[in-house]
Amino acid sequence: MAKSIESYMPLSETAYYILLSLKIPRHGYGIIKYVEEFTNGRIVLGSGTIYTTLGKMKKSEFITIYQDQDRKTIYTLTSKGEKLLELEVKRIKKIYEDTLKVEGILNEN
Amino acid sequence: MKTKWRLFWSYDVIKTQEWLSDQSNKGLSLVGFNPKLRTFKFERTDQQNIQYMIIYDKKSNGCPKKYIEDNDFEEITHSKNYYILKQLNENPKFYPSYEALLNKNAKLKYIVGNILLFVSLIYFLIFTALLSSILSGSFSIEWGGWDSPEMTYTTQEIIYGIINAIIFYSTLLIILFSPFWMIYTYFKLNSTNKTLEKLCGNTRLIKFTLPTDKIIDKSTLNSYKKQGQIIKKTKIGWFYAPDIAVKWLEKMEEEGFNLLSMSNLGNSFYFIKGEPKKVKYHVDFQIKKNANYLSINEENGWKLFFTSLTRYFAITVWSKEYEIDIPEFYSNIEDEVSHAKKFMITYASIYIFLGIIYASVSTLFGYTIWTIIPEYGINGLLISIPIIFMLSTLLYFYYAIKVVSYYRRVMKGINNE
Repeated sequence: MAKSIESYMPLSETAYYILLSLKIPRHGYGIIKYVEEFTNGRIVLGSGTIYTTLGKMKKSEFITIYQDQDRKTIYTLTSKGEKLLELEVKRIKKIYEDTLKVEGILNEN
Repeated sequence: MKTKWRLFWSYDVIKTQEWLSDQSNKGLSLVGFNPKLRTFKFERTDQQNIQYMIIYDKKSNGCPKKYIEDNDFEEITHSKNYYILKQLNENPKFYPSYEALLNKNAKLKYIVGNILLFVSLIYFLIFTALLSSILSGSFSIEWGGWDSPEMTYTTQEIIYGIINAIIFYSTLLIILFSPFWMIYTYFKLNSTNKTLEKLCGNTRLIKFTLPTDKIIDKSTLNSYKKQGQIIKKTKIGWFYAPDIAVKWLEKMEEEGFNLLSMSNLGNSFYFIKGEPKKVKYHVDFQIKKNANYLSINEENGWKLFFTSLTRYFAITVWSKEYEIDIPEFYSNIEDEVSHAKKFMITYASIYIFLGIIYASVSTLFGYTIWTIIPEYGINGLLISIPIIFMLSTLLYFYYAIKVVSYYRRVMKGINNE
């Protein structure tokens, strides 16, 4: 039986940012550049990490690949991948809200 | 309705696609197919020029939706995990990938290639043993007829006889034809997989194991040698301690010996005397290299020096020059650990397995020879066989230990950070 989406959660930081960047179909190198710019250089993904993570995600059907007109490989989210990202975004938002709440309580004291 | 048969259609899908287009030009458009029976069903229509695409997709349940959404392709038929699409747009933005099909064919080629290697080795051994025994006269072939049996049979015996004959002849046919099938499969896939690799985005030219731009021709090499600029270093078995090799290569670059090229088997390194440089090296191990493995790393600035011939259990040597920040091939620790673990488990199990087999062969041989010594005396050639096997066993266990200690060093390095 296929593993449930929830069993992949929580995602690692690397996996989360890769999925986030794939809201738009991108090349492997495009993902690295995007994540680096988006996080202001906080996360610089190694190409080996990108290759293995994309491979794993493809295996668990969160992403799928296409070829563009230059025959370069493009990665994009599947509906299962979109669902995973949605759940993960919700979870992280909750964490963020909770963190703010705790900080608020601490500041009041 | 017309059905056509195409035996090895999946070995060359590009050609099959062209063939399907040709049929559409003749007024036969595809309506269905059966990959197992290798049949394609057509319907008579007007002459049209249809471009088809055959893809294999084990993962998605149903045709991958993207190209359908873009109105660039339409699914005509599918069976098992094969989909045949009709191209609607002259210039689609996205094409389906042939990668899954390439992976499937590459796996078949790898398995068939290994069986062929094994079978030919056994044939070679049997052949040499037969030849030597015939030549030495200890074996001779006798030709003789057999007695003609009585010609009365019961029906039951006849049926048994026919069944036996069918089993016998079909086994014989399989034994006789499977080598031809295997040889055909291997060489056919060898060439068509290269085309598919290109279509999957792997445009890197590799000759045997070396990237073409890193091969130095003989005359240049000789002129470098005459000027004393080039240094050749050979390190056999460095693969099994990749971290030590990487440190050594980085030190050589710091001292101004820049890596120029490697030898075909990867055992030798050619350095040229140049400027001291800060270069990060990485020896990567992959259980399976996909078509875009090389391009994804090269686009990210890693220079390729060497990559294993086969796409399975592949070792690849990468380098990247830097100024301040040391580039990382694996940017998180989990990937680094799992990479080292994969490497260790694969090689340790291969060498321990080989070591055990060689040790048993050596003992068996040694024991047999020991028992015949009183009768035949000591024969140097015979005694050397178990000794060679024993030495190989030691070498295999040595490699296994090296690989395990590499893993322990990686783990220690990570824990100390």
